[in-house]
Amino acid sequence: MWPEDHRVNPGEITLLLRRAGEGDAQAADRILPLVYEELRRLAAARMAQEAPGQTLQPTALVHEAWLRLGGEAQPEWKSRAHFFFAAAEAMRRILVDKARRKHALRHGGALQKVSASATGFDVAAQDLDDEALLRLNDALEALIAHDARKAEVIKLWYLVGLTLEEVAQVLGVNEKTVRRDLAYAKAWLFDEISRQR
Amino acid sequence: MSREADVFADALDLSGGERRVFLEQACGADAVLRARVEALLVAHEKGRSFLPGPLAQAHVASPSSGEAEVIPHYRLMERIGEGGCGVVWLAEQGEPLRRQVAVKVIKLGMDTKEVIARFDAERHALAMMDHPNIAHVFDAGATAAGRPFFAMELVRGPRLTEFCDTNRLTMPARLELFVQVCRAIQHAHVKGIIHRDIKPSNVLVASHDGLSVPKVIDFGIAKATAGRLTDHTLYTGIEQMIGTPIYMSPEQFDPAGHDIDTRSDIYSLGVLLYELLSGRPPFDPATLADGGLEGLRRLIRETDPIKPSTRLSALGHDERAAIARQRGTDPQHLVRILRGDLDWIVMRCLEKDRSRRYETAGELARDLEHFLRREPVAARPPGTLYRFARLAARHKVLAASLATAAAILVLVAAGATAVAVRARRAEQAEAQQASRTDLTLGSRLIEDGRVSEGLAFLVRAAQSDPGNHAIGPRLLSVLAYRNFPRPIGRAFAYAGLLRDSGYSADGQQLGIVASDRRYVWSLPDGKLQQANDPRVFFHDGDVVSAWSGDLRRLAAGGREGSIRVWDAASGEPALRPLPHEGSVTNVLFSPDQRWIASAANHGNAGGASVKIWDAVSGELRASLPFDVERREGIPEGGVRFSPDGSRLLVTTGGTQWGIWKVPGGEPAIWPQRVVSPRLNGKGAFSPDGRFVAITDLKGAQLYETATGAPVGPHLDHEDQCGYVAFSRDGTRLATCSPDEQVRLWLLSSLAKPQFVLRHGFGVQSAFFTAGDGHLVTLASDEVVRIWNTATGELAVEPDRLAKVQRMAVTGDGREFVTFGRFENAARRWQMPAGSLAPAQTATDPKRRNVRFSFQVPEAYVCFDDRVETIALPTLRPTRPPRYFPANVVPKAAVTSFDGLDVAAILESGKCELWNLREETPIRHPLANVGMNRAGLRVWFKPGSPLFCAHYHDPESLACRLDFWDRRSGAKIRTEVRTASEPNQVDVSPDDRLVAVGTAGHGVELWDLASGRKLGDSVVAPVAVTGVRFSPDGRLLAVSSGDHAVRFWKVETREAVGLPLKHPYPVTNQKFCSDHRRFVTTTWSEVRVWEIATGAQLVPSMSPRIERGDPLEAMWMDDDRMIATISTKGVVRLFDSATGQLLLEPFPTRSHQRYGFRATDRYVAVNSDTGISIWPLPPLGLQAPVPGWLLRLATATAGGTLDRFAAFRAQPADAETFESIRREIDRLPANAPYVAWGRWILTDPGRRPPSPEGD
Repeated sequence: MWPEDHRVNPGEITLLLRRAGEGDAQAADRILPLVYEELRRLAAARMAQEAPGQTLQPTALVHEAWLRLGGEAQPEWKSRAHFFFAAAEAMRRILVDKARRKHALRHGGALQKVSASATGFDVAAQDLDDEALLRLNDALEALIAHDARKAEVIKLWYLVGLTLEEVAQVLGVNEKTVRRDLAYAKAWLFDEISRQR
Repeated sequence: MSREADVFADALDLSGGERRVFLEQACGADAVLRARVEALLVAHEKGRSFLPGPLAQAHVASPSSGEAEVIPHYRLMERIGEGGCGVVWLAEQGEPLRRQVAVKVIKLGMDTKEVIARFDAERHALAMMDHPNIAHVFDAGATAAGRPFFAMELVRGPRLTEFCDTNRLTMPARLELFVQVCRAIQHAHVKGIIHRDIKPSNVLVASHDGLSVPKVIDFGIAKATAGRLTDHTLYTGIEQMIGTPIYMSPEQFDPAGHDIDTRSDIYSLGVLLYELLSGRPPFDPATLADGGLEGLRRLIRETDPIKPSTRLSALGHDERAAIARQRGTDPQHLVRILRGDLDWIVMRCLEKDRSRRYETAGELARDLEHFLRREPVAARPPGTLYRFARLAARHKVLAASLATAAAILVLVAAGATAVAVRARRAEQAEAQQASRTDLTLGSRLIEDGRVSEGLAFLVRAAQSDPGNHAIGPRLLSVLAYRNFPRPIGRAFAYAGLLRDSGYSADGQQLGIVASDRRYVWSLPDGKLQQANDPRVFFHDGDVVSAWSGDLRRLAAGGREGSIRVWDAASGEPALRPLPHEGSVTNVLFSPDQRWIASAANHGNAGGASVKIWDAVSGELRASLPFDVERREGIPEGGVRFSPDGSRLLVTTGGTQWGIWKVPGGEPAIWPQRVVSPRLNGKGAFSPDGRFVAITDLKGAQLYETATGAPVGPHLDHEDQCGYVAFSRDGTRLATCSPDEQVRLWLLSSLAKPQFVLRHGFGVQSAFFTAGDGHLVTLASDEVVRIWNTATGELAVEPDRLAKVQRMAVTGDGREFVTFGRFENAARRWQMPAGSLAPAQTATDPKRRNVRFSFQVPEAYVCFDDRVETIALPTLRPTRPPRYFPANVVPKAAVTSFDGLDVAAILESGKCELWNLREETPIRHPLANVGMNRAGLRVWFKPGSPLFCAHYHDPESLACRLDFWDRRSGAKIRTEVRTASEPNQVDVSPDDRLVAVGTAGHGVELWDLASGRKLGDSVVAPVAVTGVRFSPDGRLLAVSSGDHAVRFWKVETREAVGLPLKHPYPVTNQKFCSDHRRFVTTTWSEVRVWEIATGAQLVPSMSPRIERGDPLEAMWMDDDRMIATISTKGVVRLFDSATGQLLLEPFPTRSHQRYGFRATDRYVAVNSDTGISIWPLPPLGLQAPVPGWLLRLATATAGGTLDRFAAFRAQPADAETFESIRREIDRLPANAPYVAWGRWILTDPGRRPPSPEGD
């Protein structure tokens, strides 16, 4: 067992966000593992409160992580942006991880339906089955290579559930640009997935 | 933006020919670009339903879910349900207010106009319903396609029956929820609404702040659809019908069918209760399906259902076991619970003859509550003879055998009288049993916030079983860890109805005007100064009144128009009537008592006026006309003097407000107009007069007094704001609203509230206490709540000041008075001074990097710049703090479990170790771990010199674990590297082996000396969640994602014994040092197992998981006591041998926690609010509960239980506490619990931090 101190320290992230906001690249790098950890912990704690079999909403989760990490102490969108970038990436990894695990279990011949909560966290992806999610993730990775900002728009809007206005604030562009980026990114992903199949 | 993306996005805005022309121009000869953009445009067209919205809301109607409905003013967003009668959508309402609602579109071919007309007929009554367990139906109308629809409050949650089963709610928990449903139905019945369609799908359980709240939905819909919904369903097919008609009362099947009353709902409640308790409805849906409609009709109208307990007994073994399991019990016990009272209660609801059912749903609720409290229930017939006769009439044979049985009983009873000794023993056993039940009930009530009642149960438990010595500490834990307002002096009784009350400006007098008399009490000596007949003061139409600051004069006014000012002492008029046109809504004295301000609305013609009078001469000094519409006017509370009396603030109930000079009435800022939202006429000046807060229908807005310029954004509420209060230092603002919240705002950052104080009831008024440490609120449930303004938490047990119709506070906020609803008495209360916890160390809440370690007799608190040492048990610092070197500010620190060492992670990412016992300032690092890595975590192994650091190695993408000897600072050669992130690590007791659990990879064992991985991994079936070596190092316990713990032999990696299975993931586990027992924790409970047999040794120790407060952590210091803390910070201590509570669960009021420790003398919590150490009352003292402790508990509870176990309030006054204190003072200091009694009774401001202290 980890001793008690194995927890994210809210002061730590506040500091990191501030420094990342001031352009400290090293600080920005260190945010992701913290946010990832906190999201997983939160997901596990939330599962405790939900009835078994229920799932969690990524958006709610991210926003709660934001509050719990003391994010409200960050009035600046500039430093918020780093949190949401990290949260989007962390949420992508969690979802993909979960989908892969379930996928592997199914193909590993596990007879009984294994609840994803068995892995300690469970995130809703009602609309997508695991395979669709994995395919989307592959396409998303291709998009990251092709045009990282448009991929960021998809992650923030689709995975984190930010509104277009919020996405615009995080990226520091205007809302119209975000709308255009989103349309492009969606068409691009759809095209990519269609070709993969 | 890339060219491709640009062209694509621009092309999207165009269509057809324009698009072609544009593409031609934009791409020119670049065929690749052209092809790419066209491919994307095609993808865009085809992929319209691809990623329709954010993942979280991914349930947005997919095209396959059928024809889309269009409803004016509503935007359908998501299909959330479908039933026989129609489809339910999640929708957003645009007007008149923006909110999410559920919209039910009726499927059947009904006459839409008729449905809406019928709904309209009842709309007014429906709007009158206001109950937390009723979901409102807002609106009915027709969709664009002409189908009727209903818009109602959105309730997200499972059905009541489903909720109870999935959460395995026990019978009492089920009954508690059901009682709330009854109360909701009762409320509706009182308002004249019959539901007509109560069934599981119409009773949902929503989750509010972790509380499970049952909500009855669909009120008014059955009536509007005239039952055709159900009838029609019957004919449309047997499939859809099941589930609906079995909840219908016999009279609803009557072809005449118009004679339905509230008792029909009682029947349906009975069916619901039947199913909730026994797991099956009274009639089997399968039988129903066979008989068709006619068969069904006959069944429900003619066949008596069997009792729930009999029905359950008749089920197959497996079915019965499953149902019992869902109720957290076994089948035999379940039948035992049902048999008797519960059977009778349910059967009384299901009587065919409705005159035999409960008269009201409230009566049913009461009977269930009687049952929960082990009191006689009304449902039982007065004598058994009645039922016997009924039974005999039906079953002649059975009657004969019953008669024989009765005869035998008589014989046995006669024999029993001879054996008096045995009887006494039985009596004693019964008393012990009763005592145990009282303890359980008491604990539950205390946890539910009904602390006074709970205390009364504990007192009764101690009285009925004086041999139970364990109750002493339990009582003390309630009295010491929770805050109760302390009464001041004696209660003042008054005669008649309360009309007005107030403290004098100097706080030395209290004035009360009751309907029959008028009183002024001198507070320091409690003397009644005057009492005379006040009928002269008030005229019938009077609605407002005001005392002057010295309580010498009283002004009153109302519909008569004029204002009358009286000399309070003589009852003679002090001035001639001050004339006003229309109806007076405000009258008040200025702070210096020189002026009187008044306001009146002029009636139907519209218009209003405010007047300023000379309070001595009665001369009119200013008259301010207001040109307002009739419905605007100036509401009560719309006129306010500034604190220095130089300005007058007037707010209308519409769009205007302004500030005038006193007494001349010259406008200072006027007119101030507000377009939206409309004002509701309550305003307040800040204490320094610089700001005013003006309330409106959506909250409030702060303005600068000098300029009238708005300050900050609008302070939003979900409903209007009915009251605002500034803090005494003027830095904060509390807004009260019927939306059941008080929002606390910092004037320095108004963008969002600092705290939202949820009341569950509309909030009427509030004030800050002296020093602004607390906010006192009065809500529509007539409960006074006292909140800690630093944490936003309740500071005082919420049920202590209940049934309060009015409160008043002194000008300095040091005391307040409450006026009871059912007692004509004014009670004065002291603010709860001091801290919440009995002992909170002097921590610095602004500094969050706090770690601590706990090594009796000292505790070490490690801030980010210093280490402080606190002596136990006095909880006072033992030596000056030792500071870290000034140039080294660690951003996180970890202390060793023995408190000897501290590790600090520095800003640079380095980690250093210091020894703490050094008397000189900490200066020289013992070891410089010297890492600069992401995700660095360090920890000490308890009881061993090992120090471990764990981090991600970015080069190899591996996770590394490094070990040092913290004594010598030498690094142990081993580097443990795992490919995936280690979930769990444990080191064997001899420090030889490291076990590393990884997700999906089982458990790897590494030899620390050789640095090699040992042979095969132990492989768990799913991801490993916990790893533990046994104290002798021979066993390894591994918990995994299948919620089981398995044991392995370390030497051979062979599995040992049976897996210990749990319903939820295992979050913590520990070997007892006796090598025999093993303790596991899940979110729902703590279990103690015998390793060898896999058997549970004591009943599971369970918190109230059904209340949404799961366990967060468990701690065992020695094997005797198990301490747990829940996610809401409630601490429970259990005896590991019996599973019994050692103390009453107590809230630590911490949010985010970093550490939790408990010994048999202390509980310590390290959280974002600081470190609190809770000294525990002496446990296991073999001493009877002293009489003074019972009296103190009774006085604190302010009441006792009557013989029906109902709480009877008997508030104690200050003298009662004083006499108990005198009694304790006479006892020797070492008598049981005396130190604690003295400490509890000492003024919180003057007592030491710990009862054990100094």
